[in-house]
Order: sequence, then C-alpha cells, then structure tokens
Amino acid sequence: MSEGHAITFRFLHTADLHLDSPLKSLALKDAELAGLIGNASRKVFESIVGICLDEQLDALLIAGDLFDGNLRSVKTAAYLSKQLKRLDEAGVAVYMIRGNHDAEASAITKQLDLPSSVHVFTGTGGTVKLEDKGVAIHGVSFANKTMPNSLLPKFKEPVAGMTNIGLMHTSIGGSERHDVYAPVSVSDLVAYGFDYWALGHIHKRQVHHENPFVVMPGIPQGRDMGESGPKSVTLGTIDEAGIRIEERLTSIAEFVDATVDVTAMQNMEDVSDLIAQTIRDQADTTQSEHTVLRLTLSGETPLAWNILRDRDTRLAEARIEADTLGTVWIESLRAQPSPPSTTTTEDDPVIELQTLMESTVIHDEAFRKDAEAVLAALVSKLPSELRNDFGKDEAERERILDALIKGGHTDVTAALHGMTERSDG
Amino acid sequence: MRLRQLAITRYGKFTDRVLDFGPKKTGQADFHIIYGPNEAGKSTALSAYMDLIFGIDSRSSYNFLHDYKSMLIGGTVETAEDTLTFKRTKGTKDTLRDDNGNLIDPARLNTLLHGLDRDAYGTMFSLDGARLESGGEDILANKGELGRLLFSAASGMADIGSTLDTLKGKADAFFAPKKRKHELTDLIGQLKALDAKRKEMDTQAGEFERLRETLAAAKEHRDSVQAERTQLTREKDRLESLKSAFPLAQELTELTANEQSLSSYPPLDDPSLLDEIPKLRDAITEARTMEQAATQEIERIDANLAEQPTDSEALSLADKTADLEDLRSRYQSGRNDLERVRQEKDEADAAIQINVVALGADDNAPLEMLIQPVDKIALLSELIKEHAILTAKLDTASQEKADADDALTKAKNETTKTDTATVNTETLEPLLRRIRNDDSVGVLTRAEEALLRAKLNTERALSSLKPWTGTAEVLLSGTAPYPDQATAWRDKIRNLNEDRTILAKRKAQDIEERARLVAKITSITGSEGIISDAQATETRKARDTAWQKHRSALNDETADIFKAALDTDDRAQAARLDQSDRLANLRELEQNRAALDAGITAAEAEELRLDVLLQETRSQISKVLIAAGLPETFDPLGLPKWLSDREAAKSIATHEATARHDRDTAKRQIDTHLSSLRVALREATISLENDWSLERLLDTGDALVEKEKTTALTRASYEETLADARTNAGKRGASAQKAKENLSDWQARWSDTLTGTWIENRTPAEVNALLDPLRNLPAQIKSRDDIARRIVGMERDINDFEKAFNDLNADTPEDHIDDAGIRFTKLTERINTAKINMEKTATLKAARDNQETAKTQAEAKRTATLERVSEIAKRYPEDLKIQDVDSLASALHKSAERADLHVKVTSLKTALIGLLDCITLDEANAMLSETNEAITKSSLVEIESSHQQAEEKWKDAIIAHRDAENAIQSVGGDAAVARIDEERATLLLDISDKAQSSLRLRLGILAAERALYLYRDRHRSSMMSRTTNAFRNITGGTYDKLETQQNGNTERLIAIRKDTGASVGVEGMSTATRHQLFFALRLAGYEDFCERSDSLPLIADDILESFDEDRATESFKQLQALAHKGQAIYLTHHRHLCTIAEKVCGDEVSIHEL
Repeated sequence: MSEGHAITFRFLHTADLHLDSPLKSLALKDAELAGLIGNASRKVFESIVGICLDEQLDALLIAGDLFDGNLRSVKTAAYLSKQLKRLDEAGVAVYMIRGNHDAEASAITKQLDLPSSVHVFTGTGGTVKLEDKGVAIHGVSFANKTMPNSLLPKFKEPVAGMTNIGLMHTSIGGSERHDVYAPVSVSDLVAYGFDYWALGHIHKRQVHHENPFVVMPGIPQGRDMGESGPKSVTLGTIDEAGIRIEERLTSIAEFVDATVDVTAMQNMEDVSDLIAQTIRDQADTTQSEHTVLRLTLSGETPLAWNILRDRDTRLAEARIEADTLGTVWIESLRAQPSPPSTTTTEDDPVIELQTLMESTVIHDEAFRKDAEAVLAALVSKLPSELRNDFGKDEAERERILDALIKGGHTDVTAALHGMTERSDG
Repeated sequence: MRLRQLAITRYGKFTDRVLDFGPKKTGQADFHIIYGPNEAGKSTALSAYMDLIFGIDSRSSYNFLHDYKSMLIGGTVETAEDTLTFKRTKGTKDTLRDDNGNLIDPARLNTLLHGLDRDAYGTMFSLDGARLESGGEDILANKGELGRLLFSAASGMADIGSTLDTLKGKADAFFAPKKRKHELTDLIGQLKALDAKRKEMDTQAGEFERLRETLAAAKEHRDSVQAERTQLTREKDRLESLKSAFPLAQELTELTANEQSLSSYPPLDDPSLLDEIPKLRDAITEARTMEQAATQEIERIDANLAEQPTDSEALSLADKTADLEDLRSRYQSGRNDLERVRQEKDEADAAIQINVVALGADDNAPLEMLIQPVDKIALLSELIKEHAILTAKLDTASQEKADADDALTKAKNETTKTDTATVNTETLEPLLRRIRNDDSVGVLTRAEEALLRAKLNTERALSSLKPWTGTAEVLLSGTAPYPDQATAWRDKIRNLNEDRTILAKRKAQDIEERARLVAKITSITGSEGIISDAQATETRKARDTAWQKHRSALNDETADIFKAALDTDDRAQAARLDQSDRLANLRELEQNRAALDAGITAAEAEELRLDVLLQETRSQISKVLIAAGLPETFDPLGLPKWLSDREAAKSIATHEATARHDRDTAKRQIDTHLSSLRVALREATISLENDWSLERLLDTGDALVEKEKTTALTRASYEETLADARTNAGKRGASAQKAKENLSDWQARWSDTLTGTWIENRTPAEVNALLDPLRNLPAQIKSRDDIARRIVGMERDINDFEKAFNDLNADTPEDHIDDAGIRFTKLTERINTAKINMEKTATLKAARDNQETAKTQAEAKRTATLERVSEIAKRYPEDLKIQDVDSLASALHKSAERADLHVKVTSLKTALIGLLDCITLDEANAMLSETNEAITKSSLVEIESSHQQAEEKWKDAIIAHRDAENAIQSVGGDAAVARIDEERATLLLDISDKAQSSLRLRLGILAAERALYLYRDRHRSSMMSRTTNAFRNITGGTYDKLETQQNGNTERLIAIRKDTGASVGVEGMSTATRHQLFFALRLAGYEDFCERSDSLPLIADDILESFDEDRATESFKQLQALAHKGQAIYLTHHRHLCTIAEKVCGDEVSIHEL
C-alpha cells in the first residue's frame, strides 16, 4: 500500500449476481409475493447500482457469475447494458471477471454493449492502474466452466506504491462440492502481497482475513432455502487510514428456516398459537423487507399424530397469519413431531399396524416391486427436468423410494391415529 | 387395570363428588352402570375420568366453576398386583401426586395403561351410539374385508375404510395411472403454455446481432443522403431567389415612371376628402329635387281649395238642435208606449173589482172603508192560530184525565190481590246450599260403582285361585305357605325331576349301549374259532375236573376223558392265543358291558332314591296344601305362582272392603241430610211423602224458596204502581181546568178586536177566509194609480217636443212628413255634413303652409354645399379651374394614386434587396445585370429535378433507420422472460412437491393394505370365534355362524343364516345387522385384549339407547360376560335400561346414581 496519499477510493464489491436466475420457492405460488419479489436479481442489481450512484463510489467490482450459465435471453443483456450505462454516466467504473457460470462468452455476452468504463479481465489476467487514485486492480477470469487449478499464478506482482486489489472467482481451499473451481488457500492469498482480495463463487458471505482483506461477499440475494438469511454486498473504503469495509444489506427477501418446538403440547390451539407467534417474531427479526419462511414443527408431544395428519390445516393457518403481516410468506410447513416414546405400544393396534408396515411389509420383495412400479408410473409422466428429483441413478432412486415409503406409512398411520377425535367434550 | 374410585374434587360443576366402584369381587362381573338424567353430568364424569388418567387439557372447558389452578381430580386404579391412588392437577408437568402430595412418576400410570395414549384408549375402550353407527357403515364400505374388520374391531376405529379411501382420493387427484385427466396433466399443460409464451417473447442472440448491423448500415446511409440533400437545397434556393428578382426589378422601373407623371398633384394627405366627394354630390342633387316637389304640391292644394263647398245656415242651427236631443228621445218613447200603458190601467181596474167581490162587500162601498190596518190583520191571524192551539190542548187534557182515573181504579183492584209469605227463606236457603255442595249422592254412586267393580275383581281373583275355593273372608283369614318355602319346594322338585330325567336318559343310553355291546360280543363269540373267556374257563374247568377224576381213579377211562378234556382245552387255549387281539377286544367289550351293568343297577338305585325323595317332598307339601285349602293333587311347581296370585287376590279383596266402607259412610251422610230437610220443609207446612229422595226434597225446597222470592217481588211492584196512579190522576185534573180557563180568556180578546169593523161578529174561520183579500187590496189600488200617472207624463213629453221643434223655424224640405222626430233627424244629418266640409278646408290650408317651408330649406342647403366645394378646391393651383364637384373629385383621385405609387416603389426596393441578399439597390442591380432571366430559369429546372430525387432518398433512409431502431427497441431489457422463467421454476417446484405427496400417500396406502392382511392372519384365530358367539347372541340367533370367503389376497366375512343356512355378505345385511356385527366385533376385540393383557375399563356411553328390549337384554348379557374379564362401565340417562340391566344381571351389576 502506498503511504501518505490523501485521496479516497471507495468501491462496492459483489459477486454471484446470477442475473435473471429465478428464485425457487413454493411461496412464489402466491401471485402477490411473485409480484413483490419476482425478478429479485434485477431489483437487487438495481439497488447495487443505486448504492454506487447515491454514494458516488469510484468503482463496482464484480467477482464472477454475473450471469447464470444457462442464460440465453438477449433481454438480460439489454437490461444489463442499461444498468451499466447508468454507472457509466455517473462516472462509476466497473471491474469484472468471469466466473464458472459466465466463463464461456456466450452469444449473449457478445451482444453486450459495454460502456468504455467497464473493464472485463480476460482469462490470462491483467492489471488496471488508477494512477490518480493510487490503486491497481488485478483480475483473472475463468476461461472454462471448470478450473481445477489455482488461478493465483496468473496474477501479476503487486504494483509497488499502490493499493492492490485482486478479483478472483474461487471455491477457496477446495470445499467438498466446489473443488474444481480454482481452489486456493487463504494463506496463499494473504501471502501474495495484495491489499484486498475481492472474491466470488461461494454464496455465503465470509471475511476470511483482514489486513490484507480476503472477502467472499456472498450472493446479494438468496435464491432458495439453501441460501438462507440476509444477503449483502461489501463496501470498501481506501484512504490514508488504510482499508475499511462495511456490509450493506441488499436482499429484498430472506429465506428462513424456523423450528417450532411443540414439545409436550397438549392442545392443538396452543400449537396454532405458537406457529402464529413464530411468524410474528420472524417478521420482527428479519432485516430484509420480505421473509420466505419454512416452518418445521418438532418435539415430543401427545399431539404428534394429529399434527402429522393436520399438516395442511396448520399450513393454511400459517399462511393466513402471514397474510395479515404482509411481509412474511410461508414456503412450506414440515411436521416432524414424535409421539411420547412411552405411548408407542403394540397394544395399540394402530402402532401394531405401523410396526407391521415398518418391520415386515416394506422389506417384502413383492411390495417393493409394486412400490417401484408406482414410482415409475408417476415419474414417467413428469416433465423431464423433474425426473432427477426422483433419483439420478439406481442407488439414489432406492433411497428416495425408502424415504417416500417411510413418509407414506407415517402419513397413513397419522391419518388412522388421529382419525377419531377425542370425544371427551 | 380397573377403576376403583373416581373422585371429582373440583372439576366442572362437581365439587367433592366421589364415584366408588368398590373392590373387584372374585367370580363376579365387574359391571357398573352410571345413571344420571340429562344435565346430571355424565359427560363431565367421563371427561374427568379421561383427564384423570391422561391429564387435564390445557384449554379444558370445565373451568367454569373451579378455575384452572384449583381443578383437581382424584382416583384409585388397581390391578391384581398393584393399587395406585393419586390426584391430578392441570399443567404440563408434575401433575400427578399421591395423597401426601408426593410426585408420582407418570410412567407408573403409563405402565398400567399399556402405554396407550388418550386417542388410542378413547377409540379402543369407549363405545357410543355414533361410533356403532359409523362402524356399521364402514363394514359396508370395506366390503367385509376381514383384515379391515378385525383392525376396526381391535382399534375401535369405525372408519378405516373411508379414511383409506379419502387418502387414495387425495393421491389420485394429483395423478392416477389409469385416469386421463388429473392435476398433473393440468400442471404440465401450464408448463407448456409458459414455454410457448417464452419462445414467442424472447429474441435469440443471432437475430439481435443482425438487427444491430441493420441499424448501423441504416444510420450511415441516412447520414450520407442527408448531406447530399442539403447541398442541393442550398443551390435550388439561390436560383429561385434570382428567378423571382427579375420581375420585381421590371415593376420597380415602371412604377417609378408613373409616380413622376403625377408631380403636379400633391399626394393626398387626408384620405377622408375622397370619401366626402359622394356626399357633396348627393347633397346638391337632394336639394334640387326637394325644391321641385314642394312647388308641385302647392299648385295641387290650391286647386282642391277652390272646389270646397260651405252651408252656413246649417252650421248656425247646430247648437239649438243639440239642446233638443233629450226632449226628442222622451217624445220618441212616449209615442212608442202610450197605447200599451193605457191597456195596463184597464186591467188594474178590473182586478180591484174582483177583490171587492171576494170580500163580499157591497159593490158600491168605497174602497177605503174596506181596507183594514195591517196590524189588525196580523192580530187577527195570531188570534186564529191561538184559538186552534187552545182548543186542541183542552181536548188532550180532558182525555188524559179520563185515562189517569181509569189507571187509578185498575191499580186499586190489582193491589187487593196480595199473597202473604209462607216460608222463612233465610234459614231454608243456606241449608239447601250446604247439602247440594256436599255431593253425598255422587259420592254414594261412585262408591257403589267401585264396590261393584271390587266385587267382580274379587270374584275373578278368587276364581283364578282354582282349584282353591272359598270366599274373600276365608281368603283373608286363611293361612298359606311362605313364598320362599314354596320356591324352595318348587326348585327342589324341579331339580329332582331334572335329575330323574337326566338319570333316565343316561340309563336308557346305558341300556342301549349295553345292547350294542352284547350284540358285538355275540357277533365276536359267534364267529368261528372264537372262544370266549367263559368258554375257555369252562374247558379249563372241564380239564381240571377230568384231571381230578383221573387222578383219583387213574384208569383208562378217566385217562381218555382227561385226554379229551386236555385236548379240548389245549385247542381252546391255542385258538385263544391265535385270536388274542380279538380276545382282548372281546374282554374289553365284556368289561364295558359289566361296567354298564353296574351303572344301570346304580342308576336304578338312584332312581328309586330320587322317587322316594320326591315322594317325601310331595307328601310334606301336600300337608301344607291341605292346610291352605288346596287339593292334595295340586302341582307344587305351580305353588309360587299360586301364592303370588293369592297375594294379589288378597289385595283385591281388601279393596272391596274399602269400597264397602266408603259406600256406607256416604249413605249415613245422606240420611242426616234427609231428616234436616224434612224438618225444615215441614215448618213450611208442605206435605211430604215419606219415600221422597234427597234430590226431590232439595228440588221442593228450591221451588219453595224460588216461589216465595217471586211473590215478594210482585207485591212490591203493585204497591208502587198504585201510588204512581194516584199522583198522576191529581195532576191531570188540574191541567184540564187550566185549559178551559185559557179558552174563555181568548174569546174576550177576539170580540174586542172585531168590534167597530165591517166584519164584526164573525167566527175565526170566517175571518180567516177574508185575511188574504184584505192584505192584497191596498197594493192593487196603489198599482192602478201609478199607471194613471205615467199616462199623463207621456202625453206631456209628446207635446213639449213638437212645440220646441216648431220654434226652431228651420227651413226644412221635409215639411210634408207628419212625424216631427223624423224631420228632426234629417236636420241633424244636414248639420253634420256642413261640419265635415269645414274641417277638410282647414286641413288643406295647413298642408300648403308646410310645403312653402320645405321649399325654402332646400334652397339654403344647395348654397351651403357649393361653398364647401370651393373651399376644398383651394388646395390645387387656380389654373386647374376646379369649381364643381366632378372636377374636384378627379383632382383628388390623382393625388391618391400618386401616394399609392410611392409606397409600392419603396417596398419593391426592399424586397429586391432582401431576395438577392444584398445591402443596397445598386448591388442588386449589379447582380441582375450579370445574368438574365432565361438562363436562370433553365438552371433552376435542372436543379429542381436533382433535388426531388435527393428528397425521396432521404425520406426512405429516415424510415429505414427508424425501423431498425424500433426493431432493436422492441427487444428491450424488460423482465418478461425472466418472469416466465421464475413462474416456470415455481411451477416445477409445485409439481415436484405434489408428486412427492401423491407418491407418499399411494405408497403408504399400499403398505397399509398389506399390513392389514398380515394383521388379519395374526388375529383371525383369536377373534373369529369370539365375534361369532357375540354376533349369534346379539342377533338373537338369526345368524349362527361367521365364515370367510377367500378371493385372491382378500378375505371377506360372511354370515350364515340359521333358518336357511344361506350365506350372507355384509352387503346383504340390514343396517341394524351391520351395527350388531360391528358391536360383536368390538366386544370380541375387547375380549381379545383382555385375554392378551391386563384389561382396561371399557366405557359404553348409552349405546343401547335405540335398542329394543330384547336387543338391550342380549347386549347387557354380553357386557356382563365381558365384565367377567375386565371392567365395564355403562353410562345412561334411561331409567328403564337400569331396570333391564338389573333384571338381566341381578346383583352382578352395580348402579351408581349421579
């Protein structure tokens, strides 16, 4: 880092925008919500541009995966051009690299009208020196969808006397699922001599190191339950005091998985009340404007069977409660309660029947064969995109079938068990 | 586990209520009925029991009296090994405590409950009407499938079939392999629609690139065409200016020359002068015309005046004739009316004459003497009216006096007919009322009827006691054995008889069996080579005897005999050895026969013993029978019934005695009444017969009282009438006297009035006839005098006018006309004509004066106009000689023309300089001199053609460019496609989610169906026979067997009818039968549970409510049987069910009242 320059350089660091990639949530079946948070990636990108403009930042750094790989619509390109033009007109420079998802220049990317203030680093890498700001920006793009080797060797040496920023798309350290995405260790990055590593690829935000900074900003808007919690971009300020970072919330909707503990509950109205309370609490705690909530009911309760059976009713109630708030939307309601272990007795014919199913029927070869036929009959009618949901290979299909059967006999047992309402009125 | 005690300490409306079920009694049913009418709290008690063992619901509604904190239920439950007493409070934990307040581990209670939770216990161990009913329906829904039925029975779930069907329906709604239309096809349809929409909207990359290239080319082309067009436009504009400049320059030259030629006429500075010329010219013309017209008019008026006539004599008479107008009109009406008025006077005279005759006066009497003053005529009229009234009054008063006298006489007669009182009603009336109110007769009648009925009943009851005979008294005082003793005897005899029958049957069987055995033995022994034990013993005995004989004799003979015997025996033994099996059989048969023999003997002995015992008992009974008045032969078995009949008869006989007593009491009461009545009536000296009934006496008394009351009323009325008649007669007499006096007073006044008149001494009727003529006469006289005066007036008017007219002395040409009126009219006409002529002359003179004035004015105007012309002409030089209007006008026009030319020249100069873009006119002229018009025109034609082409090319280029821009624009950066992608992603998630739900359900149902088969196989053996038993009993034996029918994997339950042996599937059963089948299944399920584990209390909530008595009885029997294996608690609000239960179960059921 250069010493004693009095000039301030402020930038916004983001990655993994996956522009126009749809949100995946059953909650979007609600047309109102679809209207509110549909096209979230665009709304979020616009708010990122908005931050750059409002705060008169110097640069926007995009560390890969601006597009989703399967993006083919020119409309997206047209939209992006418009937004980049806004930045250009406001004098905000854009520095970007390509990640695994937008590695190969697709027909669409060629159509992008990039203003002159947008700099896209190539696969061989390069450096842009901002002499007046005393900042050197380095970047190396993904040349292919998979890059099994570290990209670090492709980076130039840090420019002496300047603050060096490196843009890299990487799975860091080679996480289990992301190992072909240019793995690199944090310590190697720290040792490289740059002042700020602007990373991308991992959707969960993490500041791996400070001084020098190694920052994974995370996706600015979660797309499904797997990407839960508030999402943000990172705002960096470089001045005589060094580098400071702050997090700026960008997500307009948060995916939240909330557990409702129904342990020892005796009355279904208490359960309903607790669900409603959980929803209201969530509305208070969520930072983003909207919450897409998955509720999971668990715990040991005498009401277990009733809860399993009346899952749909609870879901409907939860949706009504959420509707009154207008900011919480119910994705789904999972019922995983268990009956008190002391009451699962084979003296109860329903339990006996369940035990018969669990211990005998489902291992029966003929049953197994019938079950496979039932599964196959339905899967063959499903849209091709969904076939994999029911098993990519034999082994997975077996596992899924097991889970469905277990779920099925639990459903039936619950229906039988809770069948006769208590008559002690 | 059984419930020993339930203490509802603070719960619902109960406070400290304890239901104690007592300890379990060995060998006795543990059967309890909780009885309570509606609202007694059965539901609360049931709920309290469930809450006791499973905990109080967090939102329990039983907190209306005791709040949640103080709610408390206690109880004791027990098993053979363990007893647990505890209390339950409300809460989520630590709700179980013992009497000392120490916590009890819920697991202990849970163990007693076999770990069943509330729902499971509720469905398995409680039964109510609704569940029975839905259970029956489900049997049909399940088509009798055995696995489901057994499961339903054990779990208590009444609707497993419909539950599974509902789940299957849910799964099928999303996808069913054999259905064509379901939610999945809909969703896939939506997906396809989205794909199509996306394709339509989205522009592909290649197409976009092509559009961009087109746009760039279009822009370039447009720019180049535009430059060319600009160049040509500029040149064209230059040539056009030049072309326009040539004619302008030419015109400028011409106009400048014109302006020069008019130099002697100063430019017109006042344009209004030009406007004045026509006015001046008009003024002169107008003045001349007016002068001529006035002169001509004056000549015409003068001619007319010369012809105008005058009548001065007529004008001098005008005033005098005016004065005569009034006289003349009276003259005229006099002449017209005089004749008619004279006739009227004659008529009036005649009328007066007629009236005088009517008055009956003398024809010659002066009219004034006949006339009477008006006031006297009025007084006479009044007196005549008064006379009529007074006469009438006198008549009425006389008549009324006569009537009143008659009435008085009649009243006096009536009053003499009087009756005196015969009885004292004040004492008799209350007595009668008291006796009537007493209704002794009614009481007696009813008592007699009751007695009659009682007697009949007693007779019937006594006859039912046959063969016993006797009277009621004998019955009531007689003795009889105690019922318990009788029952004991009956049972003893019945038992003895039964034993005897059984014994006889057994003996008969034994004898039969023995015969069979003997036959068998005979057949075995009869067959060849078989030697029975007896035969063997015989041969052995024969051999031994022969041996004995031979031994003592030792000779050949004995030796032969012995040898023969030995041989026989050896053969027999050998044969027996050979046939050892058969022998063993034979031996067994014989042993059996011996046993049967012994048995028969013993039975005979027993028969004897029983007969003796029976005899003893019978003789013991017969003593008692005789004592009770029954024949010795009376069947002791009928004795208990006879005794109960006897008790009934005794009770009936007692009723008879009571009825008799009632009747006697009533009779005595009536006698008392009779005697008091007789005494009272005799006092009234009424003759009474001795046999008169109470009713007749009462009626007689009532008649007496009634008669006495009527008589008293009549007497009072007569006396009143007499008094009234006396008063009236007095009054009427005075009135008659007064009327006479008034009439004589009138007569005096009448005479006074008539005295001194010509009608003196006439009667009122006579005078009355004269009144109208008298009244009319003065008016008639006045009328006739008025007419006479009018005639005089008319004659005077005629004379006056004729005289006045003659005095005028007018020279009239109509003197020959007699009527002065007509002549006067002619004169008046002549005067009027003279007046008109005079006025006309005056008018003509005035018109002539006016014309003279107009002529003078016109001359003045013409002079003034000519002066104005001269004044304007002063602007021009004198040599132009401008004197009249026309020359002046010409000069002014030339001045105006010169001013116009000057303006035009100036503007042409400016235009030319502007057109050629120069600064001075000289510069412009220089430019024009460089070329000429012809050359310019030909150059312009050329350039215009080129320019036109460039213009069209330019327009095309602009359109092409705009189209290219629009094409790019229409691609746009909108989010439409992204939105479709999002909708598509959501749709896919939805399909996946629903597919999983559907699959889960389908697989779950598949597993459940298989599990039910397994369940069936596991429980069939234990439950089928139990269900069969219960079903047979509950259906009252209609069905005596349950079987199953296999069909593939499924096995269906069918019932066999006892009467026809037909098998009936569940579909063929009536609804009631299916309910019974479900009930039987449930009972079997409970029994099965009790068999496998320690039982739990079974709670039945009024399930028999709708059962008829037979079914209820059978059902109670079943519950009672169950209660031997576990505890059964039945809740009901029907008293009759308690009665049935007590009858069926005796002391094996305990009834607890709430």
